[in-house]
Amino acid sequence: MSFDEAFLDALVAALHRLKIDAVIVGNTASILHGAAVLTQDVDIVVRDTALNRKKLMKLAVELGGVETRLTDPSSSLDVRRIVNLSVPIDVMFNRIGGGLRFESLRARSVKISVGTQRATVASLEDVIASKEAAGRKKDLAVLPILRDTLAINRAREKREKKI
Amino acid sequence: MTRRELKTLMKTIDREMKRLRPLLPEIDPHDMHLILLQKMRPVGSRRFFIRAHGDGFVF
Repeated sequence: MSFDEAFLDALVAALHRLKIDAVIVGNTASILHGAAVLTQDVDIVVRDTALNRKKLMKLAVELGGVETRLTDPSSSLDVRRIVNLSVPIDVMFNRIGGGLRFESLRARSVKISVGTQRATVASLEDVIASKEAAGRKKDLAVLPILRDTLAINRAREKREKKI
Repeated sequence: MTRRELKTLMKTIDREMKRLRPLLPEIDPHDMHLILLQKMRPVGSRRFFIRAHGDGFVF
């Protein structure tokens, strides 16, 4: 297992162990859908409950990290970041950019195998919508490759349905 | 991936390229190849992260 896959495997396993219902979003989701991009962190979204906030502290401890609040003046989102890991993990509550709420993301998500685990991953359409809404240069820069990936995925799915 | 697995993957990508290019002429062929290479390889052999390492970054 590569370092990257092992990291994601450990994260998803810890989420399952702690019974945290989380959806992977952002560029990690894009890569799992086949987009040829790279990222510096893992973004996940969870329901905003007192229990989930407690569980996130446990998640940080289990992974050997420290939970901090991420201050981003350009965003109104409440984001917690688990740091002191090889790859930081950003946790968003209830919603992400583009007005996408946890329930909608969850309903449209897909399961993708990562190492020994099955990860819940936001649809590529939702990742694109969130990046369009975020509108930062780094988000806009990856949009063409994400749109091309979506077009290729749709063309391949269409063919599979015909067969 | 072994050499044989890689060869098989490249052949599969070539087949997919031939089929998809007429359907998606607006996509640059090099981009299409890159996306198919990423999409069709096992998750375990994909690169996800750029990580800080010493004074620089590693994949």
